[in-house]
Amino acid sequence: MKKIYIDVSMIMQVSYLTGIQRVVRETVLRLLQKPALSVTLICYNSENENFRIVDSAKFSEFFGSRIGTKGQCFTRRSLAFDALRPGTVYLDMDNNWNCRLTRSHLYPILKRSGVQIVNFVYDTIPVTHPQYSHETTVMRFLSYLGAVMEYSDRVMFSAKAVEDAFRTLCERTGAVCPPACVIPLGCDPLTVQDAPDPLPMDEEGNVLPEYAHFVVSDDVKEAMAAGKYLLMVGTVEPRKNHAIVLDALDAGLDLNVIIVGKIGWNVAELRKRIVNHPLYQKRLFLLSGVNDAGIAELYKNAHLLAFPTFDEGFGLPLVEAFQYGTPVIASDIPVLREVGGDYADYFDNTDCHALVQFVHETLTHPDRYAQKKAALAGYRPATWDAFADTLAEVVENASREAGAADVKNIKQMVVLTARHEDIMKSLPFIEAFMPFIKELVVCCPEWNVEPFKENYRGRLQLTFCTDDMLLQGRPLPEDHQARNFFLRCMMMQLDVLDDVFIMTDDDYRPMQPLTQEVFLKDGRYQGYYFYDLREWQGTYNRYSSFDLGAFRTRDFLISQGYPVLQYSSHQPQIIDKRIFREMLETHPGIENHPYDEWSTYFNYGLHHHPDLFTPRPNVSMCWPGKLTSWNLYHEPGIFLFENYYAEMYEEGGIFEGFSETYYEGIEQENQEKAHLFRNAIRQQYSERQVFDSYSRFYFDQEGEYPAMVVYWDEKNRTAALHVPEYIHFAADCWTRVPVEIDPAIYEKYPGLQLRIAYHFRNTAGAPVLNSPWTEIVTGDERLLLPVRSPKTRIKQGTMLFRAELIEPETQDAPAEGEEAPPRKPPVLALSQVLSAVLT
Amino acid sequence: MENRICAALYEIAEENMRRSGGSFSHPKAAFLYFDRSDPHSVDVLSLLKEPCTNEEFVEIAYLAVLGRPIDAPSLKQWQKQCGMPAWKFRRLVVRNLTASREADLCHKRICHNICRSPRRRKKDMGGFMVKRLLPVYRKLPQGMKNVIRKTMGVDNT
Repeated sequence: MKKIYIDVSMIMQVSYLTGIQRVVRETVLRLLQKPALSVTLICYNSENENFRIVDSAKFSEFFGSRIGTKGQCFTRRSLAFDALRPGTVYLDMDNNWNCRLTRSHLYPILKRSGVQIVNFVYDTIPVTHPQYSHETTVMRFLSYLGAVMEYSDRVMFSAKAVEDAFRTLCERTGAVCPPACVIPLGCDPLTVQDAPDPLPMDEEGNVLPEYAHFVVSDDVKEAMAAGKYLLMVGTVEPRKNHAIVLDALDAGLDLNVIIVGKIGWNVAELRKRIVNHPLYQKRLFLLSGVNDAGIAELYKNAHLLAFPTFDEGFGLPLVEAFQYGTPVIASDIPVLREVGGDYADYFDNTDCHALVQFVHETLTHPDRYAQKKAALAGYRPATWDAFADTLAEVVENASREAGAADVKNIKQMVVLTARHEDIMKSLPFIEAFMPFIKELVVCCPEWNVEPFKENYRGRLQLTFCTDDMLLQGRPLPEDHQARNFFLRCMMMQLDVLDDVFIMTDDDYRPMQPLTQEVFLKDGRYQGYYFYDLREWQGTYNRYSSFDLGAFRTRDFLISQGYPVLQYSSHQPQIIDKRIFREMLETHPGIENHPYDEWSTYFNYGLHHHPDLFTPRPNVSMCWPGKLTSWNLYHEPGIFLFENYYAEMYEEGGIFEGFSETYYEGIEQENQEKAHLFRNAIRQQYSERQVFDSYSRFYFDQEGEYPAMVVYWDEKNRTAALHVPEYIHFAADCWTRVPVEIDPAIYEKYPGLQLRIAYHFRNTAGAPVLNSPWTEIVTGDERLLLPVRSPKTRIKQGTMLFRAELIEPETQDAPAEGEEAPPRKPPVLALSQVLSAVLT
Repeated sequence: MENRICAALYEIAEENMRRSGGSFSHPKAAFLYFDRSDPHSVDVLSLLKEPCTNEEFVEIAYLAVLGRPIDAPSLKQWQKQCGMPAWKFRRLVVRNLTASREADLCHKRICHNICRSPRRRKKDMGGFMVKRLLPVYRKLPQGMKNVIRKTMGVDNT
């Protein structure tokens, strides 16, 4: 069953139903009835920055049968933007460019989650005819349409003319047009046909309120009674070109004119012209807020419908008029020609005399007019049922057309190692817990091969590939990350590798029996990420090759418009060699860059083959080994793999006393280890909660989130420090405090670095025990300062925060016997004291 | 990072607008900022560094902090002060906007607000007063409660 999320934010928000909301209502009511679809209605919740789940049954009751209220449709359940399940469809067909949640912000999040985005585009008018839209609408629409062009997986249009306009815009902007199709909008007869006859009344002879929408109002009756009329239906706005009908009236139009519609934007002049017209309320009528019954009566009795619009996405009044057998005179524009076909007549919408002439002919040649009416008897519009059926089919097909991995069984594991002892220790775990793995391809230096062969007694079929075979004379890069990426890229050229295999490192160990579904589920490759690369901070002042690789990978992925999740989750991952090779061909020379191999591959795959990849949070334990190394991006729900660190088993280590090697029944021990590690995470999480709660409280009180900022003060022409007024930590824990550094600082003080230091003082102002000065040196613009709070709890202490601009320190360690050179004084020192509470 | 597709769409829309004899009242910078801005938060430090003129900055600051384009009367007011040095002008705009009631109602996260007024008006003082006065009110006789309710415009039913 295909899972679809339908965003109904606008229809739930507005108190009226425009044409688009009517389409949404009719579609959603019908899609909810489709057994082949699992539909979840979602509505943007700006306060919590997530989606609220809408109760489908209550939505149907309210919008289908007018039972209950809109407010009752909301459930208490919510859904984070990134929690929509991979492989599901997000259907965006409301006028959501008016939603605060911009699509340029939302769509990248959905794409990162592997969600397919399907749009219904009604028109491109704010781009092609911006003069007819409010400028704010144009601003919002440009952002919306740009996001559709960039991220949508499938776009549906109400008319071919709209599709053509969209394609033209794609060409002109250099965007790749997503797969597209046209589904003409439905048009069921207005609900007046369901009216009971006679209408139920109260004791005083008034129609009961629930039947009020079946009553034709007096102003409508009066306007109709004034004589034969030309009808105009639609919001009164400049685009609809009401002015031409007024011109025609002034030029001797032989019919009365009835204009029906909500008063829209930028029509003050037009409205004035109507109400000040000498024929107003005699032969010219303006009716607003007319109910369905009134509109039906107006259509039924009209001599003609005039539709002189300058541009349209579909032109629903045209179809509605045909249904009531009312002839139509419409603008000669492609979209109306498409929708109206031979049933309508067309005129130059800038020539009022053409309109006068046409009307005159219909009056003076009643036979021709009767022919037109007779022809309309055979008109059959598309119904909403047909519209919803086609739309559902498109959505279902979209998922079917999406490919599925063509591999059913995985049997091969590939490891890159220079430490055969480590992989030898990990292999028994793999043999026991990953029974589907039958072969192991070992890529290693030549000198590793023989010891490996001699010592291995397991069940896996071994194949060796030495570094020399991989390199084929090319030099091995010195940098760790560059070497890893280069070797793995070379590895993909090996014929010995299956198309799809599991890639691992020598110290990744499964912790319990696993099936291949961990890696390949429902035809989709499961890629396990552990961070968002844009959030990755690395180790300040001591960036490792891994950190630098992550930064470079982030920049590369962003430059290509790819997702930016960090997949180096330190657990085995599934690789499709063909897609890896495709990546190498798409980005020639990429193998020479020190990128993170996992993140490059999976983000490329997710971008180019969204139907084949599912991003999932990692399931690896002990990544990081030290929980203080970084704030976890998320807490793994389950630990399926252990990232083995020998020191964790040593004395004082978290796994002291546990077995480092495999034995039958080790699952029990693994469960205990998982429990211990999870407790450690929870402990750290609860400590962090103190700071998070404080941050929220600070925001409520001060209107901003707390952060240390070092910035260039233009007024005083110097660096300055901005700190929160107070700060709150848990005692005896690590917390990461955001520090922002104005890039202008590095411009104004070229070549200098920033040394950031802090320590705590107690109520009396004396340094707190266990709180020595802690320092970080950085050249970055943003960092999460690791703050180690002292063990002592303090109610009213202070934190002294210092930022010094310094010359870069030499990295050379002093020779043995030599003293370290004295530290140079800072070029500029700034410090601030802030109240600190340690609980 | 500027979205090239959105920028290209803007060029097309602007050209169409010009052909129709009109022009946009908001600058291109505002259109593009709207597209790339985070609807839920604003980083004041980054905002202050937007590469734009003072006039464009006012437009951008309204979008960033209040989530809407600037209205004509406000623009007129700010334009009078556009001659100020950029750093001073920008801080003034941001300080005013972030301290406004409208910004409070917007629920946008404001980060790194180096323009913050030292003694910013605390939020929800009304709620604070109600909390303090409610126990006193509860002890009042019903007649007095009714008078207060009537004075406050609270329906007795």
